[in-house]
Amino acid sequence: MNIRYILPFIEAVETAFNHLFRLQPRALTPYLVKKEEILDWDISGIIGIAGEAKGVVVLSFPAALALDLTTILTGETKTAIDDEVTDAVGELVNIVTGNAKKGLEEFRLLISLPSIVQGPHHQITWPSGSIPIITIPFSTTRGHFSLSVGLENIITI
Amino acid sequence: MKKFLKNVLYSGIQNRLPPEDQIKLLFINSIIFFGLAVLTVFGARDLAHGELWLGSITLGIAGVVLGLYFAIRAAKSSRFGVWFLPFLMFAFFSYLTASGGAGSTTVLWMLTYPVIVVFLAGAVPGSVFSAAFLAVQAVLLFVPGLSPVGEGAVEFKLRLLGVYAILFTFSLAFETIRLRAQKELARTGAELAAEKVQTDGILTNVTEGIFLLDPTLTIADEHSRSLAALLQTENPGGKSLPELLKGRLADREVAAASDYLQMFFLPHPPSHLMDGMNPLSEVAMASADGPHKHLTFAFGPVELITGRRVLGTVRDVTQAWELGQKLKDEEDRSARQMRHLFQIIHVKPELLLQFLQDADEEISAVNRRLKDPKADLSTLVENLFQGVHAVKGNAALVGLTSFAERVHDLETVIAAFRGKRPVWQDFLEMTVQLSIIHAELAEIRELLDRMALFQRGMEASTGGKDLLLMALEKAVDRLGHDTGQTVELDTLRFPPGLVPDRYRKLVKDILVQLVRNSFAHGFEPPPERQALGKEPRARIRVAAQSGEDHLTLTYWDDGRGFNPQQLRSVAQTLPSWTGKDPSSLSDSQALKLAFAPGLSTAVAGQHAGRGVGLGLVKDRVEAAGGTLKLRSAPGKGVAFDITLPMP
Amino acid sequence: MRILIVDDSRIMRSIVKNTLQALHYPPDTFLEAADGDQAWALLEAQEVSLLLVDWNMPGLNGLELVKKLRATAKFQSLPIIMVTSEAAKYNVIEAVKAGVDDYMVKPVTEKGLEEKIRRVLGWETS
Repeated sequence: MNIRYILPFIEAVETAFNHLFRLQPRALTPYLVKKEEILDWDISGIIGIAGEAKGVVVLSFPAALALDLTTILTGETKTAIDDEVTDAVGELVNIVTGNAKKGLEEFRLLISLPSIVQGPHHQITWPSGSIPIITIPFSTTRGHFSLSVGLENIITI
Repeated sequence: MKKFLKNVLYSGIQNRLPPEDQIKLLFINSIIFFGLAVLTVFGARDLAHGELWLGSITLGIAGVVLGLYFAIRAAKSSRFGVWFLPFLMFAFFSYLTASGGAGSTTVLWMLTYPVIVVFLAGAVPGSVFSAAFLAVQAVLLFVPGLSPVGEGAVEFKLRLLGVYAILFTFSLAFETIRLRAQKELARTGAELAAEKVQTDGILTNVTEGIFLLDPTLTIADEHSRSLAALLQTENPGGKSLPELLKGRLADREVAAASDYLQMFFLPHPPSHLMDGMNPLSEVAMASADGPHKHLTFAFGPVELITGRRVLGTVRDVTQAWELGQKLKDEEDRSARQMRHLFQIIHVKPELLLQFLQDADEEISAVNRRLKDPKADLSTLVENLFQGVHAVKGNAALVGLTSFAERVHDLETVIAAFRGKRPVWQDFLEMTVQLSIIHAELAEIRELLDRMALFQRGMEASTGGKDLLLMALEKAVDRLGHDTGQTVELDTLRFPPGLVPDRYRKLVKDILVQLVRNSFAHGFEPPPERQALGKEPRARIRVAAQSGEDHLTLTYWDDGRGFNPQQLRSVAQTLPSWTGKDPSSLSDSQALKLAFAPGLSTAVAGQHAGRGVGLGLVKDRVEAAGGTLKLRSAPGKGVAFDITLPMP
Repeated sequence: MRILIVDDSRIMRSIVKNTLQALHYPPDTFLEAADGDQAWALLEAQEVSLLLVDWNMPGLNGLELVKKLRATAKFQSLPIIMVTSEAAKYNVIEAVKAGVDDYMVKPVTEKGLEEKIRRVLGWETS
């Protein structure tokens, strides 16, 4: 079963959101990522994976949810996306990716530092090549977000 | 040399005796030899001094003692010596006491009696012998006239007997203690042996490999028997565990295992982390006999008297793992890609391009549905199925059989969920599989792009065909096949590359529609054609020319052509007709009816007759700023002249 | 006592700080650094009783910092807890091998951090 390589990421999202925000994200129907697609989200945190498998992990949020989550973490009310918000998004995608490594132990993976893309309707530069990438939308009581995972050399039919 | 000595000292029967008796025999033989030596010396001396009686008896006893030695050897038993010696010594020492001179020190020999006898005969018989002996000596010494020694000083005699008594007491004490210690030892030994039987039983029969590691990570000799089989080494005891694992595991896994195990020997190992860090908790080991073995190792520190050790256990979980693997498809990716490539290069690039476009559209459509939060789940499955089914069909048509097969596998997975309520994880499964297909299509496209570059290079040098013309050819072929008519397509006067990019689709669509129209009105069968003076084979001709500010296209066929009368009558039957009375139209005006929407002189079929085509063509040409003219005569064919502006 | 918190994410540093403050550490206990080099400078300049360090940071990353510290006599017995998102076993082994005293996978919990600090500093565990 090759979804077993995706499941660690989903579990990591659930754990992180439970612990940090006391939220229980619910996974909705997953779909494919089209590389030229323009996203509906306002801010995305991206981490690259290298080593025995190459890939990418992206967490995307609407501005409102990003602000909300940062507010919970810092205790200060956030009204606009600033350095702390981007920091929070980056750290979130870092935690999700690092934790997911636990379910992928048969591969030695290295994760990069996170990078942030923001602005309404932004585009993400997906890795070149033909790696399959899927997006899993999540819903929480505070809003929706999405997790996109692409892994090459792992996901095979 | 050692062996000889041992043989002599133990009378050659060491192995037959329990340890206790071995010691006694050793003692007996020592006394025998010592006694022999002393007796011989003293006997000889006595004889030399003229004491014939004493000397002869002494030497005689020596002979008896020697005889005793051989008797023991012959009898292969020390019991003989054990009992004979006390009596012999009793007699001999008594004789010495009786025959010694006043103040003679010969009597001192008797002091050795209790010690020897208690040791040889044991506490109780020894005591009896010693007590009896003491009584006899006392009589000999104190009853006047029995012994010359008796005439000596009373103090001497008392001291003699006193020392004897002390020696006797202590011998008894020592013997008792010794006996008890020996019993204790034997009991402990028996207990240990019994326990060892139990541990051995466990170690022999347990299926897990159990072993101890020392700080150098060497396996201790005591380990469970199954360890050998599990590690595939005959004698794991004494070998280094990392060494055994090398070659069966990846080097870095062996290194990680070494590091991890070393941590147990740190002064303060991070015990709360250790379990979580175990890199050998599940490993696949290369096996000498075929498929990999899956083992789980677990380790824990133990403190023994000899220091800290690591207790390890290992189990074989291959079966469980293999079961899991059977559910996973293991096809080698590169082998698949090779097959892919092989098939791709046999397919015409333009067909492949079309396929990729279509497949992309199908998948996009499906993806839109996946993204729709309001989508009904069972309909979603249906959409997925249909989309995948379409892609499969197209792939097969185009000749990508290997790819089609795998899409078929995906289709089967989805089919299983049709009509049921799939759960979220099922969708994850389907989407992941779909994304893989999507990625492969991207791969194919990339390959194609590269090949297209190559082909463009080829085209430039050999003047290859125009894609537009190829599409026309294909249409003519297909229609000809469908209607059973063979039609020649003449494109000689249509220079490839003449049509600019922005008109390509329009021109293609127009020409294809015109071809459809030609076939719809039909070409006469060859005999009829010949009767009419036409070439037996029907022809369609397209030409293109570029002027200074416009592009001229000409389409010509030599089929039946339009019949103005037919057009008039069909127009009359049209319920929506709002124009002039068709019967009043001239021939050339009637021709224009051909462009009227809804009008068709052919039966509705797959390829024509819905009365939309020509009208649409005219509209599109005019919308682009061009003109379309029709020339036709019944039985002669049709000709269309199209101009398009070229600014 | 002084605790040095090293993480390139400011939010993470403040989360750790807040967690520790909830455990009644006074605010002046804390020092912060955003990367390995900054941390090194602080450690050389001041007396630090406990180091909480992330792994993935720009410049000198957490693992390299730990190795550097353990290679220096002055810091060989400095209590170090690695606080990182890296959850794979081979990462934990590498960190322990480099010389960390304990390892915590983010996200941090109050209880978890408290236990680890107590253990590492040798205080009685409740």
